[in-house]
Amino acid sequence: MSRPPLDPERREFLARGLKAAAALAATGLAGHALGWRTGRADREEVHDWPVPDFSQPAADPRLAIVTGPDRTTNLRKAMEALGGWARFVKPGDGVLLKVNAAFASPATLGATTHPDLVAEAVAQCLRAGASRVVVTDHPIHDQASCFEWSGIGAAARRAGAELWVPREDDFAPVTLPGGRLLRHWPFLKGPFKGIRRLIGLTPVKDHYRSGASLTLKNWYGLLGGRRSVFHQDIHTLIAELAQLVRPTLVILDGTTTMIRNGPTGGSLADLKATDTLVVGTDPVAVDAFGVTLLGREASDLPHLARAAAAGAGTASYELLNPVRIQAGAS
Amino acid sequence: MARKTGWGETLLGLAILAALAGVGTAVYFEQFRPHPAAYSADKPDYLPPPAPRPAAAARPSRVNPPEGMTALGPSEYFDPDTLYEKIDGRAELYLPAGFRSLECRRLGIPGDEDSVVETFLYDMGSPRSAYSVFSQQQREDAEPRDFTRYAYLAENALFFCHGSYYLEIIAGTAAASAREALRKAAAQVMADLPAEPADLPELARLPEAHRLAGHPRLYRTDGLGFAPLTDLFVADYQIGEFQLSGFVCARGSEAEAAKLAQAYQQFIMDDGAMLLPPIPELPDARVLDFYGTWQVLFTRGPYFAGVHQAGDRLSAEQLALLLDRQLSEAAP
Repeated sequence: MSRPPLDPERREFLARGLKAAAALAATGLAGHALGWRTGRADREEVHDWPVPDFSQPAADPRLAIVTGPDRTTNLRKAMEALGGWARFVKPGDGVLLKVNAAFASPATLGATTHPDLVAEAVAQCLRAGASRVVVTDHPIHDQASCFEWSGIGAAARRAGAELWVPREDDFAPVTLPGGRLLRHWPFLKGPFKGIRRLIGLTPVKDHYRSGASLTLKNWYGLLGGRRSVFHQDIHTLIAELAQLVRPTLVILDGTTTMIRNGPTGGSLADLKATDTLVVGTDPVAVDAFGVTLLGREASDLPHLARAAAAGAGTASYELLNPVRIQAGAS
Repeated sequence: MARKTGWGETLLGLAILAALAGVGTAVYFEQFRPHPAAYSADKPDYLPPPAPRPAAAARPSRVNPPEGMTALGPSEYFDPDTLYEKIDGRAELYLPAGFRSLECRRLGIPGDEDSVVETFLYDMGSPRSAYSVFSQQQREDAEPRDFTRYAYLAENALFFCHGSYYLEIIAGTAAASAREALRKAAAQVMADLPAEPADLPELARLPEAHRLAGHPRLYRTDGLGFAPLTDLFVADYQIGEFQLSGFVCARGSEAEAAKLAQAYQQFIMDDGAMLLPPIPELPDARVLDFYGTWQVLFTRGPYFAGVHQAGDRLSAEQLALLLDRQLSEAAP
């Protein structure tokens, strides 16, 4: 038995339905192709805040390693070896000091940048002619307590710096071109206004997740949002920060090193006198040396190799012919 | 007879459908590219802030000042979502161990800066979890303390377990008044917390001979880097010139212990370990060479035990025999 032929209305309905489906599919595919070509990452790069590059043209010496028990003396010696503060801070410059004030714990426990180092750096920047020096960090919890208990707030103010405690509207999204994690992520932009020099100051610490907390990890404190999600891929994040944040100078304080139970520590037994301070223009090189103070090697920190491969510096710090100085006590 | 639609209507209809299809397609593909922030319940800082947490005053503090000391502020509270705000990357040690909440509070003797201490009261949910985080971060040169079963004093801080709680009481200095403040704060917090039995029978299965100072470590997850190896107790030993570790973990039955031992053996063999001839006095134990270190694996009843990273075969055998004796004595 043969089927009855389609009536004209039914045939027309099917034809229209097919055309509509074809139009839907074509539009969808075209839209997807277009969206892929001018993808979100590209759009973010255009609209997000471009973190300025504060690095200076490479010139020797780029790395100074000073040994001695007094961090203030060590810093003075290191800066002399690198050509003095005037090489890095010009009259009229605004200088931003990014410290580690992540915890509301006293300086004696070594979890934060030592206030003596902050005071010395602020004073020297001002002496070099800086128009203003801003000290900042973005502790996640109870920021005011972190700056006060660590002694950083008082030291900064006493030395003549402006203490910048981040507010909600200080953050703007940033995107690392080609980055995987740093895409449209909130970044502490506020204190960068009018800044021409960026200096990182941080202690050497063991870190439960990343192996070590050194100068590159210090930039983590510039991130806003729920940044703890990055702990699952901390080495990628630190390598991306190394590409995003290009400082004028970094200062790594290994006068005492938190050799275990970092990054919080808590016991004086977690600290070891390693009597070393490193200053350099290449944060990757500084960290590659710094990790040795923890009894580890650069190869133990995968983010160093990744940062170096991305062009953020060299993990072979010896190639920079570091100036080595033995400093006495103050 | 049905009215035939005009070209204008047809085109308009198609345009609407196309627009809807475009939106649908975009939504479909974007869902595969979530931003990392989307994994969390929180929002980036440039978006409206989350609702404020309940006022501290609304929660009863379990950290109270002892006589002669005062609180320098209200308690702060953290849960698994916010723990990292207080202790950053160290949260990764507590969370897998069963962390529930943290209460922090500063106490001090008025007018004495050295006496300021901060108490960290971690509710770990069980005595086992509390012991786990306690044991994994012991300080060198710690002085054992017996005011509770698991406790030690470092220069400037007290670390101890109390039932399901792990406590750190930390001073900024090692001054005498700081140490006195530590003692008083610990006594007060223990008096204010409920007593709870904290027996960990596996600890008694680890032989004491040749054992190094300190408490054996308890890994609640990923023991020896092997995910199924949970609730693993590890102690360090010195035999002759070699330092090595002994371990033990209990399972619900003999069959479960044997299955776990077999799985772990396979795990390290997949990583390159090679079977060696057995120990004559312990013929059922597996001896393996793992890139120049000796491992011994065996089961006794519901216990899976062994020697990890021995520098030579002799010390590995000696510790394995000690473990065997200890476990055999414990057998019902």
